[in-house]
Order: sequence, then structure tokens, then C-alpha cells
Amino acid sequence: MINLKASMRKTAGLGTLAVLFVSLLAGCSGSANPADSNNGAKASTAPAATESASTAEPATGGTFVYGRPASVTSFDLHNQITSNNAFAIDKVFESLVAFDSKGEITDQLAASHTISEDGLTYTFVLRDGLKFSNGTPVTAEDAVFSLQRHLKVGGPLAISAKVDTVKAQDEKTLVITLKEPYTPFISELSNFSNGIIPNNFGGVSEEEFFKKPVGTGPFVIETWDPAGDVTFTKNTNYWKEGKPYIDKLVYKLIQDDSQAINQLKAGAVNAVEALSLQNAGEIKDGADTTVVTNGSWVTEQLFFNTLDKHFSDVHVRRALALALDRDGLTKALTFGYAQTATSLLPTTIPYNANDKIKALSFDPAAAKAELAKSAFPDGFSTKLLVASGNSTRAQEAQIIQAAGQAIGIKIEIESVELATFRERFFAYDFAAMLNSGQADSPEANSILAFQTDPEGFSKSYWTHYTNEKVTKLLYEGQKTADGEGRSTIYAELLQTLADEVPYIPLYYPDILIGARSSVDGLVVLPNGSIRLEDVRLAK
Amino acid sequence: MNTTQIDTTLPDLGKPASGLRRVLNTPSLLIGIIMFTILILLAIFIPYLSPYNPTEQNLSAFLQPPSAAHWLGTDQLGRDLFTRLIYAARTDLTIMVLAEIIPFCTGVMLGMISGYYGKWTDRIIALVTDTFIAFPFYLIVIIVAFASGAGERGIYITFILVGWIVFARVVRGLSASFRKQEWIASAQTLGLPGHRILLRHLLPNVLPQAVVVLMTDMIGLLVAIVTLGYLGIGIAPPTPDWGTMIADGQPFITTAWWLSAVPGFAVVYTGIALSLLGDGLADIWRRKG
Repeated sequence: MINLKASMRKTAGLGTLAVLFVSLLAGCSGSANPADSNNGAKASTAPAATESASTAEPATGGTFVYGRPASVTSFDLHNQITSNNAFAIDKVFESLVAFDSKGEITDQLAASHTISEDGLTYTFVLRDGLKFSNGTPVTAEDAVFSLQRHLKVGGPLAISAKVDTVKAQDEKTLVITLKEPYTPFISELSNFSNGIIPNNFGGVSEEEFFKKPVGTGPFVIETWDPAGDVTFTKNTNYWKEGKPYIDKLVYKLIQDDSQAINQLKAGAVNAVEALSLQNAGEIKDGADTTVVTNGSWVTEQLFFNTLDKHFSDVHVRRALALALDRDGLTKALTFGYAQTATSLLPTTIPYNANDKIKALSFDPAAAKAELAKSAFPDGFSTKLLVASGNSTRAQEAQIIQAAGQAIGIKIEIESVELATFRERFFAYDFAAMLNSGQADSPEANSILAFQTDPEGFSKSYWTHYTNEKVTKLLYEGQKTADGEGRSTIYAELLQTLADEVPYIPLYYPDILIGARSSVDGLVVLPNGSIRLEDVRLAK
Repeated sequence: MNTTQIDTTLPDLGKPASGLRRVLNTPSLLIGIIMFTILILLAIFIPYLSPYNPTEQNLSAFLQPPSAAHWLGTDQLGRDLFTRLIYAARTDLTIMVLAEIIPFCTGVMLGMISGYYGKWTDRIIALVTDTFIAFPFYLIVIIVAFASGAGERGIYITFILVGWIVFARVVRGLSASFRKQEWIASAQTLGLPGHRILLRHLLPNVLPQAVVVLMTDMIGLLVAIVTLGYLGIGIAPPTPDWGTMIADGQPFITTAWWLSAVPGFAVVYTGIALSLLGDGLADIWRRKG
């Protein structure tokens, strides 16, 4: 099975590798401290902007190559949820309203929108001269067809408002009526899944349409390999005059993290998606590279299965929350590219209540006292489910393990492959797990409905957390119009979650995009996508 | 190194060299023994050498570069890298040795039986070894690791399943060649029972070769243990292990390369030590024979 030659070759290989590390990196100083960066990075496109402003004419044209860890498998906007597809769909299709980099709702295909006083009637007036990429004008009928199909299909991002009618009042005016008020509706409409497609798929079959989709977005598919790269060309009929500036956009599949980094450094790609926290410092300090960032809609969390023998006990969950140094964890693992979480909702989401609610903070003595109140005062053994291949999570798991050990909870880390991980938690086959919650739109309800509704599809994010008061507040929040009242409701809801800890919010990681310094005008959205209309590539 | 000198001095001794002399005359064995001894001594005495606990975290002192307090710096969770490195040697070397015991014994036994008796016993054992050889080693390792859950258990089970084959094959070949030799034939004519011939006469003669194979096989096993740890299906955290250490350090390869390079070097070091031991032992026994 193993002969001398083969094993020597293996060891020799490792040796060469070690030597290679040393020789390659001898020049690098080991003291680079990546933990001082957040503010600087957020403004990191500024120098490039001044540079291009000084040249009289903005550079236009060129190809923007974007390295991404997963390929685009479908453009069917109503049936998709994962980011590999979502961030391609949003280049081709656009919604009536959109959110900007600050997460605020703005009109997009709609020139204006009004919501009636009773919250039941939504009226949208389309922009003048809107055209699909094939030149066909966009009418209210197209919007009706798009929303009707989404209502019919349902899909993973189904419209959750109780929609009564969707009607085209005239060529340009769309009227949607609801059976009961649903405040998150306008924000949900900004989602990529509510993009506008041509009425009746422009006369072709559904299948054909999504192979060669036609939308109003800034880009049009030129070639597409569902297991590889996508090449887009600019939409010459785009409603933002003269934009996008670039001619072509390539989504290049680079599955390996370090390869993506190397290609960025070498200039083989203009930017890479989902830069890992550990690599951010290096990219930011690079001579030709920079980090473009934005606060995110993600909350990294430790989830408890509330049906579990041990974690069904609220004192156990509280004890572990008190034993965990979330600040220390965030500092050690995120290099300044994250905020320690207090509330379940990230600070970029309205009504997040981070400044109001009191979360259980690190207090070992209180943790022991809390555990003493539980049914397991002498501690117990349990398991923590983690998906393998994510180094930050692997480290997180070890910090949680140590926190548990300090109060007598022995935690075994169960590291399983991603597919198995999903299978396991969908089947409630876990005691505790590390995962993250993400908002799909800038709306408190987006995360809360997913994580607190025991009757919903996700069963309180598979924790099976059930609390009538919380559910009642959740529904109230959906019906209450924006304002003080809604704020009070969510603050109460979030405080209850912080007290009963069906999950421990750990931190809100920033969205990080690695880019060449020569890229100007790149806008990073808090959902992890990017906007490329204003991108210019320096020659 | 002047090998001719050794060659000329050996015959001059006139009589069999003593054990120690033989070792001293075999540089590869000597270096191997020294290297391995250093490692073992460090692993044994690390609790007295280091003030740190290998699993205790210090989140405010993460990723520190090497210093007087931390000879090799600290990892992402603020644990002393040197301490973890040596504790990892404990973990990995213990598993390496324990996981070889059963396969070594069964492999040698089956090899002798197969080679000595030949005929149908040989055919059955050959069939089994060939079947196992048809599967790539790491495929079996990973399947077993998934089936039995991550951790040490998978390594032991895999090795009990497939580890004996390499010994069985080597010993079978040797035994088959010895079977036809006169001293076996004379033992048979004296009417000694089969098991006695196997244990008293055949075993001492096949054992040296098997031990040499054992040394090199252990390197392969060590690499397997480290690989599984690296893939996250080996030694479970927080127990220190070279494989998980390499994986943990990987994201910092360009900023703190030593996090991965040092445990990698430790694997190389151990591998070289074992290779030299195996080579040296083979040299000695070859000369003796």
C-alpha cells in the first residue's frame, strides 16, 4: 500500500512546499496587522475616484472580469434564492424599486410610487421610454405578468403579502391592492425575485426565455455555461443614459479561495466576490488591490435546537450566551471587518434596536449561576454541528467549545461536509450549529419571519423556537405602518429573543469585495451583490 | 560522507561487530535515532518545558509573531504555537504507533501462513490482498472516516482493515522463498509441527524485513493522519494535531506563513527520521545476512 519511494516522495513534496513558503515570503513582514482597517476600507474607492476625476474624459469600455466562487445555474428569478444566481439575475432583470448601498428603498423602473393611507393600495408609475434589452417598450402589462407569475410560482422568495389584485391601470401605471396591510411589501418588491420580465415571456416558451433572458437590466447574456463562466455584454437600450460604461462583464468561476486571490493580485480578474476575512488585510495592503466593503445584512449566529434535550432548557442557552466572549470572538476572527452583534438584526437593517436592547454579555460567574438554575447544573456533553471547509467557522466552533468547557458543558465539534450539514439541520438533526441569517431586503421582517415563525417554512430557522408572544409581535410588525409604533414592536420582540436566546447573534460580518485599484465606481450592496453601471476601468 | 572508508574498515574487524558498533557504523541509523529521540523527548517533557496549555485560548493575543514569550508566535485563537506543535507530536505519534500494532501482527502472521503453506491458503489470502489493493488507500480512509464519524476511530478502523496488507505481501514473498530452503526442510523432517516452524524458525527470519517495512509504512500512516486532520475529518479540535494546524494556518499563508509551515516541517522531520531509521536497520541486517 505504501512503499518507501512513494512515502518519501510525499514527504519530499511537503518539504519543498515548506521551503517554497519560506523563500516566497521571506520578504513579507510577519507583523502586518490586519485589524485596523474598517473606516479606511469603506472609503477605499475615493483615491481612485479623484484620480479619474483629474483626467478630463472618463475611461469607458473594456471588460470587467469578476471572480466568483460558484457558477450561475439558472436565471429563473422566481425560483432562485442563492447568491450565485441572484447576483447574476439582478444584472439582467430589474425591479420597480431597488435598495441602494445604504439599504434605502429608491425607485428604479418606477418613476414614482405611492402607498395609500390604509396601506392597501400600491400605485407605481413607470419611467418614460423604458425598453427591454431587445428594444421592446416596457409597459404596465409586463409588470402585471411578472408579478402574477411570481405569485403563481411561489418559489423560495415568495411574495408574502396577501395580494388581492395586480392591474395595469394604463400603459404606464400599475396598481397592486392587498387584502390586509403588509408593511414589508415595498421592501420585498426591491428583491431581485420581483424583477420585471416581458409579458408572456416575449412570445417564447418559458424554458427558452430563461435560457436567453430579456430584461431591463444593464447587462445582456452573451454566453453562459451553467457549470462555468458567464459573459454579459452591455444593454445598449439601458434606461440610464450612456451606462454602463464597460462593454463586457465576465463572471469567471474560481472555486478556490487562494486561487481567486492570486488571480486578483496578478490582474487576471478585476474583482473577486466574497473575499474571506482572513485575506482582506492582504488585499487591502496590496499595491494594486483594494477592498471595497459595505456593512451587511448578515448575522452570524450560534443556533440551538430548542427540541434538544439540553438546549430546550432556556437556562442552558442563557448560560452559554453568558459564557461566550462575543467581543473577543469578533476581534480574533474578523480583523475589524465586523461588528459584535447585540440584536438579531444587523445595524444596517431598520428597527434593529442594537442601541436599545440588552443582550447577555460575557460574565463567567453569571454563566455558572445560570447553569445552576437549569436541569443540568453539573454540566453535560453535547455536539456542535459545523460545515467543514469554512475556516472562520472552524475557529468559531473552538471558541464556543472553550466557553462551554469553562462552565462544564463539554462540546464535541462535529465537522461535516456542506451537503450533509444542510441535510442534517433541515431534519433538525443537531443540538447546536453555526450558521448565518441573512436579510433579502432592507426590512426587519425579512430576518425575523425566517427566524421566529414556528409555522413558517423555516420553522424558526430550524430551531423550532416557539413563543406565542413573539409570533404575535411578528404579525403585528407586518401590519403596522412604518414609524414609532413599529419600532416599539420590534424592540420588544428583539429583547425577548435576546432573553430567551434560541440563537446567539455573534457578529455582523461586512461584505467584502476584493478589487483592483484601477477599478473605479464599484458599488457594493449590503446583500453582497455589486452594481457596475458606474464602473470605469483605468487604462 | 566517505562510504568507501566504511566498506574497507568493516572486513578488517574480523569478527561480528557489537550492536553499538554496528549502529555507529551506520550513519543513517544513527541520525535517524538521534532525530527521533529528540522528538520523543520533547513530546514526553513538553508539560515541563512550556508554561502554556495547548488548548487554552487567549483571544486578546491572537496571531502574534514569534517572540521570546511565544517562540513560534500564537495562532488565531491566541494559543502558543510551539506548545501546540509538540503536543501535536504526542497526539499524532501515539496514534501512528498504536494504529500499526494490530496490522503489523496480523500482516506478518497471514503473510507467513500464506507463504509457508502455499496452495489454497495462499490463494485466499492473495485474493483478499489484491481486492483491497484495487481500492486507492485514501478512498478507503475517507469512506471509513465518513461512515464511522470523524476522529481517531476512523483512522484505527481503516488501518485495521487495510494496514496489514503491505506486511502480508512482503512476508509472504520471504516465507515462500524460505520454504524451499534446507533449514526449513530439515525442521520438517525432524517432525516439528507447522506452528512451531512458523514461530520459532520462520518468524525471526522474516521479522527484520517486516520491521523495515514498518518504519516506512508509519510515515505513510502519519501523512494519512495529518491529511485527515487537514481535511477536517481527522483528530477533532481542540486536540492539537499537525493536520488541523496546517489547515488553521492556511488562510494566513501570506501574512503568517509559519502557522502552516512549521507543522508541515514537523511532518517532514518525522518522516525523514523514520526513513533513516528504516534505511539504517535495513543496512545493518543486510550486512549481517
